[in-house]
Amino acid sequence: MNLTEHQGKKLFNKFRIKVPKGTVINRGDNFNIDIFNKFKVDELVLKAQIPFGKRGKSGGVLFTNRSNFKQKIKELFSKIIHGFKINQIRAEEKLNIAKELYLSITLSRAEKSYMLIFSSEGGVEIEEIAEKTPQKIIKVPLRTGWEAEFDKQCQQFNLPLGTIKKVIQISKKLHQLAKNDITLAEINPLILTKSNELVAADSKITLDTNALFRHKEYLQENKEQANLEEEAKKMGFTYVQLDGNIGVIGNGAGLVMCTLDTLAHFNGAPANFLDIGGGANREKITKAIEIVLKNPNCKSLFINIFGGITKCDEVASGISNYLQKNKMNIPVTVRLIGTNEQQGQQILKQAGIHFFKDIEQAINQAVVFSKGE
Amino acid sequence: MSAMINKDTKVIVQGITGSVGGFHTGQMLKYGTNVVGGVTPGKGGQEVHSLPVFNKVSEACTQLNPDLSILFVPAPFAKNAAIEALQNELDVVIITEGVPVNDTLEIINKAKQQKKWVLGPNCPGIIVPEEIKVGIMPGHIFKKGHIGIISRSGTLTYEMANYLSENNLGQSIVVGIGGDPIPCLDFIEVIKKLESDRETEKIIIIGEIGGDAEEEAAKYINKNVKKPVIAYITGITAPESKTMGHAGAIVSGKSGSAESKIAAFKKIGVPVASLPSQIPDLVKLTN
Repeated sequence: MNLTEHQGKKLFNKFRIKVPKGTVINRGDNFNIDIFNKFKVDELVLKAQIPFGKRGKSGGVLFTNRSNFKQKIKELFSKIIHGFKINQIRAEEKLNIAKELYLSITLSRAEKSYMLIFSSEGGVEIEEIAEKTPQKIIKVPLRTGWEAEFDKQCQQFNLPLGTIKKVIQISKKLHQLAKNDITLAEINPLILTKSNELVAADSKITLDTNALFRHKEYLQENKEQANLEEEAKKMGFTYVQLDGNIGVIGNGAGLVMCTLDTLAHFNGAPANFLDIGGGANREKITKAIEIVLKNPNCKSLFINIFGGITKCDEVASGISNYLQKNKMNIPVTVRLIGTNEQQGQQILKQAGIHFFKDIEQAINQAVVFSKGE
Repeated sequence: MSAMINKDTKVIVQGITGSVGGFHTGQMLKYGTNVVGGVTPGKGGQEVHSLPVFNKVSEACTQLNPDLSILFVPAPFAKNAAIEALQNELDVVIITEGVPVNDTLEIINKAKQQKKWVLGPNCPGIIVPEEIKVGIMPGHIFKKGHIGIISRSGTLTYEMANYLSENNLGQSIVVGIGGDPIPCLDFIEVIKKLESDRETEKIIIIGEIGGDAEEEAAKYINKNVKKPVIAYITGITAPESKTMGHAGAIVSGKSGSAESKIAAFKKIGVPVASLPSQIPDLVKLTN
């Protein structure tokens, strides 16, 4: 789960990482220009709070002064950025920038540990720098004694005296923060101010969704996902909407991805990705069908189940229950094998639902249905 | 004698009294797995499928002397359960889905200390067809033979095994390393075990988008593996995920995409199937 910049900066405060003076304005709040007096500034930065990057390039950051404050806030609240309606703005002081740096801690799959990434060339072009001049980016796994290695590698940057020491201090705090189920903690840019201070101008924090049971406070706050995705998530499904017209339900991310690839191979176009996960019962199957059919582009429904921890009889009962209670306006193709397949196939037969055992035969049928043939 | 488990391996089930743990204990017994008992805190003294249930792994170990524990424990408790098993010097298979990655890192460190292996989390388990099954896979689709399978995806593993069995290509050992970003045992560690496994003649690797484990595996295979390898990568048409920061891109650059992984295997002469149904022919043709 991606946190908003404001949520991230609250975490930075907690771990004593310095951030610019700022406050949050919610949609519908009574706001006034007292903020300028409180912060003793004449200009402020207004930043849309959405859980998504590349905000500046999409008009999510505006500058404002006392005279156009209300108008700029109104302007920002009226925007939709990356599909997200803006419900919150963070108003912040502008910093006196001497240099923009890049600092992040993320989990390295290869190292199976946290890794520190640092560059003296922070800002929006960091990915380009990583591709074109990788030597300007330092990556150090955070194992005992990493500080010396980091210090050595940083010598190439010619940063003002004492800066590296400060970066190490911030990195240690960021590491402590990350240990609280954070898979990415990124500060870009990390500002070196003209008075030689390091300030986190932005925050990008990703929380491990699996650990949400330990961080329930974020469940309430982040309700920004598109409705179907949110509805699916509540059931423990992963749902992604796509451009095609074949609704897809399957068990296991790998099998569902393989289903999409195979559909494409046979010239079919999936309307969505829906993984019911492992061990879904009949109620969940019924719910999955409901969710997929809410997409009006669906012209053909394809259910692909290879039961392991998921039992075929539960799946078959879920499909049959749905069809008994609802009128289907589009054709359904079912592929069902694996754990308890005989019981499952028997249930489908009794309900008069045709099924396949082979994935490619089933997909061909679903593609034919999607073309209205 | 197989690389990781064999017909003599004694298995206990942590979470045996739950509905999923109980059901799959029955399925494993039916397959012939030597399941000797189970552990659920607070349920000691009960019986499941006539097997004794203990409160603690240590008690089960004293009474039953098992080699391996399979976990059906809910995600919030999986870390402690796995560490308890490791402390009692058992290898571990974690079926549980949704384990926080920081918990997985702790389990990995403990496994290293104890010199034991841990498979998973979020995996289907491991099977030596017609001998022993420690997992949740449907046993009847597997057939004894000489093809080893290593996979990040559970259900896709079943798809492959089913195609192989239907084409009379049996399997020596099938290992699901699990779909989490950081699995305990990774591709390379399992490839090492299969390279030295006498029953395994050819190895199939089933990968998917995300991370660079397949690219790293390709490098390792190029240098160290003499047995023929065949690959399948899924996710060619998957939509780009809504990632937020830049760190992921900096760490793995362009790797992570299906194209990058397919290219990595093709570059070292490993054939890559574009549909699961092509796997049997590729296995027959690759020597």
